[in-house]
Amino acid sequence: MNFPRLRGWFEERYDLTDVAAAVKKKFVPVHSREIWYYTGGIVLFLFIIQFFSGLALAFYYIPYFEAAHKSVIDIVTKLNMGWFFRSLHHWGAQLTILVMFVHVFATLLLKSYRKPRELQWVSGFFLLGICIFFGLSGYFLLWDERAFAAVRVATGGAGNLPIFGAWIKAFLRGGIDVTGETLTRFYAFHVSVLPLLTLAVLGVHLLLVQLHGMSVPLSQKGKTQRQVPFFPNAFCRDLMIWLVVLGIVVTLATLLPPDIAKKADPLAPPPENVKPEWYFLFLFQTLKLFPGTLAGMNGETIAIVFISLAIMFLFLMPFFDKKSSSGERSPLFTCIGLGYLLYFVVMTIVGYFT
Amino acid sequence: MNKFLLILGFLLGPGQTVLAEERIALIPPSAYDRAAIYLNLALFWVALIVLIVLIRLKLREIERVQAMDAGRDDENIPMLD
Amino acid sequence: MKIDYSLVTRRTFLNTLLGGWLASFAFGSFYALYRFAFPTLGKEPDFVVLKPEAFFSIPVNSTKPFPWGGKVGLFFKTADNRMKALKGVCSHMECNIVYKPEDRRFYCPCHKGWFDENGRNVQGPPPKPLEFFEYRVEDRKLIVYRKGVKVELPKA
Repeated sequence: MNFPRLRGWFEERYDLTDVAAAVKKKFVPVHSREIWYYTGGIVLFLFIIQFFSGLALAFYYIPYFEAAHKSVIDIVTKLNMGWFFRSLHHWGAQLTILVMFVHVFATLLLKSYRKPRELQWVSGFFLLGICIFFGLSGYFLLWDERAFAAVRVATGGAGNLPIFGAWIKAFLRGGIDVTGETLTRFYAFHVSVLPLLTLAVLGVHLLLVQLHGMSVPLSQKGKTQRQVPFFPNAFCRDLMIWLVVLGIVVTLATLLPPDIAKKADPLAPPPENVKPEWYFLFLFQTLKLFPGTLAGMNGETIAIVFISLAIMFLFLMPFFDKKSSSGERSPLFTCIGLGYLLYFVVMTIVGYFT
Repeated sequence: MNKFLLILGFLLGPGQTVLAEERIALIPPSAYDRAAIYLNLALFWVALIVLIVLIRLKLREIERVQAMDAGRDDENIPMLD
Repeated sequence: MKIDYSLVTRRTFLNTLLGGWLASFAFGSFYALYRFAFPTLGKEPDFVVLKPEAFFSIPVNSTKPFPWGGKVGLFFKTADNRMKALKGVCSHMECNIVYKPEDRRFYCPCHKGWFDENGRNVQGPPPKPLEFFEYRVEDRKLIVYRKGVKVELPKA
């Protein structure tokens, strides 16, 4: 299956030999830690699944608060394979966020953020924020009790930031309280603003990968580097892993379709023991750790400031970690990274079981 | 493919569920529909695994050719077409 | 029969196998998406059930619309006090038609087509006459049905 005449037609018009040569020059290092190289690609693939399944759902979802809940139920019950695409989108989202956290912590602990890849880390951090906001806005579109309560807490929490808090809260909510306006706004975020932002930032992130190549962990320094060409060797491996991921998502979607709670009522109290989605649990637990007032100031504000500082520090890690920037091992920052990971995992588990 | 159509036919017909109280059926309750879905899932996995095996075959072939260093054609090979 | 040379190269064989399987896998996956995107296309109903009082009491030489699936139907009381039911859709490009009592004709504003009281296309582009329905009253229900359809009311 060579289609020589078709290729001939193309080659008479477009000279892609430079592009082909550049692609052939892409190499991927081979070493004991190379499995972590594939996490980024998996997140990309899951994003693409989300894009397509979300696109399908957008054909039928109605973003008006009176009709939103019912439209989801109609999708699930009345359409050909509707339940499957909604389930696929739900599980795709869960896995995307999970693998994204794996990717973040892998790059953190393997110190891929060190010089010269600082901007890689920065763009990746933006993508993390975008992804989490995708999760929050998408979950809200169900307009059920749990989602409503979750968004109330989340936007309320954001509102506790000093100085910017009230402004952010008003921007997200589209008003003083969470209403149908919020739904319209979140829908615009979820299907338009965030995808466009993702395309832009992801483009930068991927371009930087092409420019820098793959980072080799400090532990491999000094060992002779074996390399394989990206195309086709690592690309085939990528494809196989992506197909397995597809199988996992489809299986989860088929066997464990998600349910939907009662329609949201802005005037009703939140349901018993309401909890946010699992990727917010660690924040939720952290908030619970702080008392109502501390040294005369609002406990929540202090909690939010503390969390913001921790996130800021993580964001600026490449610039604080001088040792790894100069190529030396940096056990202090490995410990800090492990600390973040442990805190995240432990708080999530605690949040899940209480 | 006909499994697909079977599923669709049944999801449109008796597989439809009614919003009763607050519970909606997430998977069609009847055993036939459920069996069709699980069978379809199994077929999907078979197709997936065959695809992965084929890609691995291709990869191994490429690596074999690379090891032999026999990959590139010469620039000016006379071709028949 | 053993042949000396293989008919295809190893590379061609592998590529065809892989490409073909990949294509069918992708086709199968996107087929699900395709079926999802095309909802059960609504057919026109065979009959509709209406309230007789609302329709029999309209003034002479006028029409009253009723829903016929997604389209509009017209209940028509002619100038000589006969009652008919028809599909209120032009036979040209399916625009909704309107009854002009002064002319005793139906008019389609899209391309200025005219139909007479019996639905025959008399002027303008419409190629065919209007479709008329039959109706009957059963248990205080007005049933408007397409010609030739056997109406079975569900036992409510």
